[in-house]
Amino acid sequence: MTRLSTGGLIDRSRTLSFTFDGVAYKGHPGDTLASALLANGVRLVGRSFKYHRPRGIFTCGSEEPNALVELRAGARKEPNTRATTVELFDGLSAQSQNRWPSLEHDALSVNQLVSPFLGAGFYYKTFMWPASFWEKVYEPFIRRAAGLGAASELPDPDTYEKAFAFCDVLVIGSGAAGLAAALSAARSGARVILAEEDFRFGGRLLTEDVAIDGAPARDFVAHAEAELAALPNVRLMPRTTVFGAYDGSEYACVERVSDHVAVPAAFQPRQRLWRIIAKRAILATGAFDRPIVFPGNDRPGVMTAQALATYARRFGVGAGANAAVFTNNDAGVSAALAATHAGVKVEALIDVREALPSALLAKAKALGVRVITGGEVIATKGKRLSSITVRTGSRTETLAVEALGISGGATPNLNLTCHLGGKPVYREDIAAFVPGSVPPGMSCAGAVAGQFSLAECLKAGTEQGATAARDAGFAGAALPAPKAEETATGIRAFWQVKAKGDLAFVDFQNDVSAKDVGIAHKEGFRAVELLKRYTTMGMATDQGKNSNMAGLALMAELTGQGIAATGTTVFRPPYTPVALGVLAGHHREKDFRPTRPTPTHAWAEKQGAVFVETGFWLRAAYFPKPGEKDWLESVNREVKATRESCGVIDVSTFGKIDLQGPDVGTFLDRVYINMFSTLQVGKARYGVMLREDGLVMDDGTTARLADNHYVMTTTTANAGKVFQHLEYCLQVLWPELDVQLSSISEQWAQIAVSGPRSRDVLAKLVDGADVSNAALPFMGVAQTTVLGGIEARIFRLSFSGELGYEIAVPARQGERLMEAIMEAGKPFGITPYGTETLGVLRIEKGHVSGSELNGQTSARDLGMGRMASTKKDYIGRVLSQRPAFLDPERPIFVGFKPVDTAQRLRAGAHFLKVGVEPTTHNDEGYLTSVAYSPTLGHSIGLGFLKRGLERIGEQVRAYDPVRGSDILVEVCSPAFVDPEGEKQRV
Amino acid sequence: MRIPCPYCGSRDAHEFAYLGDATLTRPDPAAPDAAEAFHAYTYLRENPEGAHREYWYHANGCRRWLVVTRNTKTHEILGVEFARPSTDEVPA
Amino acid sequence: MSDLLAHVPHTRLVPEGHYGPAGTPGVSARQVLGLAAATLAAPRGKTAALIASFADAGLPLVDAPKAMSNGVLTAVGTGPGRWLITAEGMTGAALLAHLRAIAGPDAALTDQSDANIILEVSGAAARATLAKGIAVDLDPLAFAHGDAATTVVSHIGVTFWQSEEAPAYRFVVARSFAPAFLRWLTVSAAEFGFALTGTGRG
Repeated sequence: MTRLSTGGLIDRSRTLSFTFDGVAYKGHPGDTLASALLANGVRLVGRSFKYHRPRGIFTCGSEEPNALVELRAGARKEPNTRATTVELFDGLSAQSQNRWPSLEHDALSVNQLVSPFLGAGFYYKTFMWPASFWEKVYEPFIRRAAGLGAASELPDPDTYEKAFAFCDVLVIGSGAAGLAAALSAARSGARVILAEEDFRFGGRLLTEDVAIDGAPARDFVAHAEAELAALPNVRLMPRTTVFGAYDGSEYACVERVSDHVAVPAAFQPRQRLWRIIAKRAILATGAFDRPIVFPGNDRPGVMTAQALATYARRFGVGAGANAAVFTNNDAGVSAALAATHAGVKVEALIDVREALPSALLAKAKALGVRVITGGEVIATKGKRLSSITVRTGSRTETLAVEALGISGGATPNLNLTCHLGGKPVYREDIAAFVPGSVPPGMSCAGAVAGQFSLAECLKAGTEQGATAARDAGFAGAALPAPKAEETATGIRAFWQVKAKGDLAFVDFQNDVSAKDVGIAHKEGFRAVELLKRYTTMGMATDQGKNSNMAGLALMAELTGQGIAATGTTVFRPPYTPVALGVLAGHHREKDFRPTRPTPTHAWAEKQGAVFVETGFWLRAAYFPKPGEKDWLESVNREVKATRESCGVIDVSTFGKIDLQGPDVGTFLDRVYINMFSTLQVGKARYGVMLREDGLVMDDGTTARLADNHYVMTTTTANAGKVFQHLEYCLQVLWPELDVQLSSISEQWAQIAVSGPRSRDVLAKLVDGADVSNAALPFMGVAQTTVLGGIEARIFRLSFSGELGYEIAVPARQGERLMEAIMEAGKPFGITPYGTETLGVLRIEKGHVSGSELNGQTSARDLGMGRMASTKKDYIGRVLSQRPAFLDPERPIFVGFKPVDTAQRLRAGAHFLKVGVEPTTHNDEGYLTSVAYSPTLGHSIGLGFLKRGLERIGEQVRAYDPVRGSDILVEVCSPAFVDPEGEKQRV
Repeated sequence: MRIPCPYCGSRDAHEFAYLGDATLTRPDPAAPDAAEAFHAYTYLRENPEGAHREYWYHANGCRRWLVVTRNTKTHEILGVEFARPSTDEVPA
Repeated sequence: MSDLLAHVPHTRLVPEGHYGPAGTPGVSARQVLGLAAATLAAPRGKTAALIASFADAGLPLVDAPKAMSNGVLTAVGTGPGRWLITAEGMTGAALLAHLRAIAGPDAALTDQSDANIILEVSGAAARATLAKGIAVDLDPLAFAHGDAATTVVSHIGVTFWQSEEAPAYRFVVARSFAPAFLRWLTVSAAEFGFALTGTGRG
């Protein structure tokens, strides 16, 4: 046990039980999994990615490269979870990953023996030839060797949700600068959100042995948190990671609502995705303590000096029985002293510098810490660190230590400043990259901006909090910043110990060593972006937070061009990995998108309908009857009943647009290829509208209800698109037209009754209106009432080719109308049908639908060229006259039937002349729609064929190599049923 | 991203549908060079770096077509106006 | 989606009842029945004249996303020169006739009484619930009693306005999208305790 006897922000009065690799341990509330493991003396926690080297806990935050574990089990198993950010809870279980058969004895650790062959670019060099090895040898090998934890393959039992928040000032990070910024912005009255990825506010103030306004820093944190919590204009968001900065001052965050408990409380999500729209944002994300590159710097027990101090001060844990610290900067020295103060036995403080500030030396002396100046750690020993070798000039010395804190300097945590393209800038004086340009509305305060001293952080936070609030319109009085001593921040840039021996790691998570950087240099991959991709440095889940700085410094040294000129790669969202579940929110499975029921859905359910999704809509596809063996049998029955007597279908899903105003006729003339201004009141007309490029956009019928009042129908699929197009025409192209549009798609239920007996059915529904052929002829429209006073619009239209009517009533009356139709049609055996039969009926009749209006066809292609008016301009007219559209060779809409009627056509087949090679050059068109026609007793199809109309009666091949079909078909008129159109006019 | 709609106020960009270049005018279909003019109008687009006037449709809002001036490099919204000012301002 | 609605078909309104932890609900929603609704659009160039006609008739229209009420009619701005008007205790036809009498022959009027369902959402946690889907700032400083918005929630277009200071909001949701909207509302409100009324037994 290495729990220190006192100290730490943990509740020692309560004990939490947890297991790691099946072994039971105990910790306390306030622990992370990492601190609890260290407190239990567990130092080996994982194996590295490529060489399977033993690894321990390296950091105390979300940048952790080594201590990735599988958390929980079963459906809630979560791989690659950083032990350093997991808040300990009772019953927690975690497993190490990337090891086999066990963490202690890992078979693939032999990889490190062959490390000379696994260096930079080894994927590119090794897994090349022969190609046949790819699937059978290389891929399985890579898959087994690489990869980290395994995902659960069970459905996630937890819920996730999304939320929006708005604020004047978003403060990201709650260390000294963040708290000061939040306080000064909040006191001015601005709406403030303070987001902190940790479960505790305070950042480094929880670790550092400093005073603010004369009191311990932790008291300042507690007071600040209490004041902020009490303000109504402040929202405190602990456990919330701001992972992305986006255009328009928008920030994406994950709030880990329930990750710190075994199972989310009832009705609580596991995580919540926040999108915060902030007028101003203050980035106060601090800095990382970065590693120094030296042989064996990855051994379990080696960690950042910051982590060593944090485990001691915040968690009351010694990372080992004793420790040493190796550094090049004052913060590293301070960390060593803070750890010592907290009770860690620090055997030696090794600093590469020859001279240290006298105040720090005095403190070290007072604490009895041995200081080795001008020293370097050149080697380490032990599966778990047991000793280090220190070189001072020509002298070497071995120290027996279980932990080594290393600090190569502070790397500002400026990830979010890069998300909109900002490039960090190198500052020689502090040996660090600081934010260059930042996203609009963002400012940086504290260590992230290279302000490393506590006094600077407090001052910058206070000032920027006030400035941000002022920019957002809140003029608060300037407040004095909390006072603190100037902490020492000296540094001597130092990246790498030059010594032979074990591998010296740059990127721990992807096993990239100093040697690999050398290989990349030697082979010409010198630009940072190439260095990154060739060595995979910075491409692990920590995105190079630990490695980039040393890696590019090493390259800068090799090229001799300096760090500033070498530059750094930029960070992209997300700042830390984000679970896909939280991005989906509640849009899972059937809630992936809305389901729209039709007005008669409940009725159709009662009839046993089988439903099909068409866009958001759920429509009846067919209505099976007991004893029918498959859908085709049901559909054949429905088609036959409709053609012989009558059938009924809900067509409410069509888009319905109400047009009012004196210029509607003129407007419709310009959007349809045919004339609508001449349409008589009480009549409907089929119309086709084009896109400006001359291709067909949509079709449908439009009826004139009054001089200045029309109602248009669109296809179900294009309802929204057509509405948008019409608004564009009115608002952008012809603002002088006085036309008002309203969607009435939801207002009206519309039910189509088709078949020779449909008039008999209709006659029973209307309140005395004359529905005879004379009074309500084909394409006639009646505005009347049905079923004793229900307002109704009756359109005599036919998609099936039979006598037919579409009856529209207010949506709430839809089900009642359907029931009344069924009752009225009972003597005629009225048959409900769905989209399948709808399709068969229209294919038999040769009517076009979505498969033909496929964005590649013109009105002429569809056989509607003569519908186009020559007396007016309309959208798409000019470009529809281009030579290619008028080419007689262009495929034209015709019908097809198999020569051997026992054969079945397949949509998607291409047409070939008989006897020619199946090449693209010989392609003559394609089949768009097919159906089994119960009326004709065989398969029929619609499609486009070169010079199709001239080739009626000719035989061509319908060639479908994808499904292995190649059959002889005869070209025919697309109207298989009633080509003269007599039945719909009776 | 947010777009300040002149009617609705600041709104999420997802509410809008994008069309593109708002500097184009539908050519005169009766002009002798209509075919060429319509070809250019339909297919040819500048891809300017910096400020660009674009049509956006507030599909899930007031259903107005807007002209949004957007910096194509930074996505900064420099101005938003109705494509058709207000019905009251359009001369008859 | 949680198990909360596992038994509710996606094609039906979420049935009335209490969802979430027992106790006083933090959010309530009720379907407001018996309202007539219509869209009113000014003819081109005549918005000011239309507003004047309605002012004379005692309904002060504002050409902005605001809700205005005269006790009988509530007019909600949905776009320039456009309003959604709801009325209690009136049929759609009667509302249309009433509006036609005020607006004159040229205004575009469309009955929408069957097109939507209207829900009133209220309670101490109403704002926190709505923030789970509405990307409009509903803080009282930004969105007050009488303010309205037409926007999208969970892929569903809605028009809503704050109908009471308390706060309470009225939502107009297209009829076919109402089941999906209620699913979103129910799972979003459940953590606060959610009382739903007026949607039937399912």
